Amino acid sequence: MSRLSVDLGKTERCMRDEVRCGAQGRSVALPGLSGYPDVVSVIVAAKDLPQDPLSALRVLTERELDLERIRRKQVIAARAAGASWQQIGDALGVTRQSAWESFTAETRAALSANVDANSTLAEDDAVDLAVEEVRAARRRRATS
Amino acid sequence: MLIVIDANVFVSAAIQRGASYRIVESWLNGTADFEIVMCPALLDEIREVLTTRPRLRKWISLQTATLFVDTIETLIDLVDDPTEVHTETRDPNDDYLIALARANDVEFIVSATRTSLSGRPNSLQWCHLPSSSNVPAPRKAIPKRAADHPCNRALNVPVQAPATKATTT
Repeated sequence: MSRLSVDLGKTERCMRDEVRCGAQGRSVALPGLSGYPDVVSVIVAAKDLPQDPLSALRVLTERELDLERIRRKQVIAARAAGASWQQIGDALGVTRQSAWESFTAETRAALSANVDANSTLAEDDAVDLAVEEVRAARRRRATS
Repeated sequence: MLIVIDANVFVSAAIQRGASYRIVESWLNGTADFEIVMCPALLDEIREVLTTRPRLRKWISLQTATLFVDTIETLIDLVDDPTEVHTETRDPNDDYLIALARANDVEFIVSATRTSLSGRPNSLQWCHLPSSSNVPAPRKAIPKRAADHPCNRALNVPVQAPATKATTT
């Protein structure tokens, strides 16, 4: 059977056991992914793709998003287990810097969009708010 | 270079594109020349303020705040909370930042508040981020170390030699 494998790099190898059912045309729950759809098929049989190329591209994009969520979860798990960013980069087949950048991309985009949306908030006011709230948090901690 | 970034810098970075944002952004980009030292107590402060304080909800969604704090937690190798905290600043609740820095050979503490450290002999310095991004306050605050200052690097504040007046004849 011909299969179209979504590009996972080296990650694919370490994940394949967990998604072997997906490779056989079924899907399987992945451990540690409770916050995401519990059924993820990461390898798409070419014959299962829609005939229409644009529809097929949409399917592939959806799978890539699933993969990105899984990859992020696995990076978090690896860090929690004590892995260094160099080790994570090695596992992903990229540099430490690339692994770091890739992991922070979503957060950077979200923060950038957030601060852009806060155009009415002056810098001095933002700093004052931050200082006051942190000071209050420290007082609460000191008295608790 | 090791630095401690105060929780107030992370909080203001999350809500406004000012000096705090730029220094945190450079770290998130992986282009900063410094490494951040953080302990669980400091991370908890950031999480508490960004995810539980009602005043912040107007400026950042819980989803974005949680994403930001979770990212910080994943990026950083947390060190132990400081155990020996001495009174060194005007606000004793800030003293644990000093203790954290001293216990981990940190050179700079970057904060949105001003303070002055006691005269204990070491190289630790307190960097007050500018309240206005147009004012290169770190250069004023620590002029002797301006060229090495992580704030200046992150903020791309040019460190120039004093201008020499052109003489006209």
